[in-house]
Amino acid sequence: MCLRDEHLQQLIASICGNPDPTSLERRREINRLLVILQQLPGLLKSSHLYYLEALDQTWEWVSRNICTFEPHPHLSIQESLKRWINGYLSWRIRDLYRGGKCNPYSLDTPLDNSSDENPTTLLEKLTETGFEPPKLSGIDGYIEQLLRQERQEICRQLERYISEDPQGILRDCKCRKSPNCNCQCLSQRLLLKDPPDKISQISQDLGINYQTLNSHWKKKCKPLLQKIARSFLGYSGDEEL
Amino acid sequence: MNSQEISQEIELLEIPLGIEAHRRARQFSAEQTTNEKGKQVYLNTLAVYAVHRYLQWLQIETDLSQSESWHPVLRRRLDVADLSLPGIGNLECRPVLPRETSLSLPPEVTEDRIGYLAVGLNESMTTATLLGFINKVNQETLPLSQLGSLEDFLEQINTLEPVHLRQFFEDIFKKGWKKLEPALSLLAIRFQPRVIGVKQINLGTQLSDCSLDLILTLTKNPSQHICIKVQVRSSEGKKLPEGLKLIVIDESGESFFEASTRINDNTLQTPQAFRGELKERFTLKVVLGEASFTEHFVI
Repeated sequence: MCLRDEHLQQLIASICGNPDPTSLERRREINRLLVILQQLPGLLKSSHLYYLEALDQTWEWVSRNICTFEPHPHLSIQESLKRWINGYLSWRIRDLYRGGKCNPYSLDTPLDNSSDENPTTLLEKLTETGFEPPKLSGIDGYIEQLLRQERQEICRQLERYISEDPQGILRDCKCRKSPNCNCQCLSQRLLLKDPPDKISQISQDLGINYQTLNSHWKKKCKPLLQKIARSFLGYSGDEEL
Repeated sequence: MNSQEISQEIELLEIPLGIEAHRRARQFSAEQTTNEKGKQVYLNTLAVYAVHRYLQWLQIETDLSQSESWHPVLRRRLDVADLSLPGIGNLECRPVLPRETSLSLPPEVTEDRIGYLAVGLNESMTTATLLGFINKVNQETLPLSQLGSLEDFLEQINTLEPVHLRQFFEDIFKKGWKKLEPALSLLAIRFQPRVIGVKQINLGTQLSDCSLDLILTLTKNPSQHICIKVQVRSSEGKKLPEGLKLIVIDESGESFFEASTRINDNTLQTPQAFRGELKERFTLKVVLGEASFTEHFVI
């Protein structure tokens, strides 16, 4: 067994011997394991967005399922791990293709499950999806095309709503210890003012304890703003408009 | 040292930036009015999303929807790249471009953050790497060479992560806590479920060892709240050092109990149990001179 194999085996044994998945030690070891696994020779590679998405899902799966990994009896641990990872990765790429809006002909050929024999055939299929990310060198032009009048307008209306507070939702959410401080005045000073004030500044001006003010902003005002934005835009902030 | 040189020097984990990361970056960027702001939002979104994914790999809980960077108005008005970690706080994930040598920290992110991660983006924006971490800043730019390692980041998360006290009743003890089996006594005939957890902490210096037991006695009431009694004792059954302080801090950061030992004290404790409601948080601090131990709890 080579040195790296031995090291990997020890690391995996240590991770799997730890009963607490949230412990600092386990997180350190998972981080170390992933650094080593990312360097394994022979992993499928591409710079396509679908591949990158599948790779991200694969690392999550590896860190959660490493204890179910069983090395192949006739192969080194490195080689077994490579096959294990490539196997999952190629399935994820396939899923994304099926689910995404991609070229129909890419589904014609069944994808090779073992994926070790000829990984390039699979990766060659990762061509046009109609969504090319920008490179840093070309980002300015890319952004210029991206800016959308209608989206900006919705955001402006949302800002106006927060600033005017027509239903008094923000005004009515007052700080317990200091009723003259409410979410509307905080939103105006912390968000809409240009440049915005800092919480410490407002705390001095109003003579309210910093922690009290900060906690009111965080626990009351911010969730309220989230709620307003959600109902206003009809999306959770995490979905497409 | 710039971000490329750092990546070459230490083997860093690579976080792929796939279709989801770019989709959100595009979506948020489209809401901005100027190119400059659009670019800032694009890069901030990629950095936050990359850290979100990395934390998922490590099974650390995140909540994008509670992050300022995910709020349409907050991200339009402020230069924010934060990620909310439930029960821990907001982590700022600043994007760093290939030839940049420092981290830029606008004033709006210098308050109310549990720390700052430098997130390196490559030229083709297909990969992010975590270049370094710092938990407090007081300037607007910070050279990357002054940042601590990812190890410091994991330690910071570990310190801030609260202990879930309700889990003690289900026999789940994490972060070095252990169950203390009480001697069979009057406890056995109590009606209310009760559990005792103990954690050994050390506030010693190189010259003198000071190993202490932090003991929490929890009693569950039918009305869902828990009564908590805190005790500190010497692990070796010795007298406690003079001037040892126990502080209990509430959710808003104000201390509601503070006591310290006098000469020859055996125990330092809250005079009576205090009440904790479901989901309420508090912090315990034990201080001896320069040394201190802090633990966060959630009911």
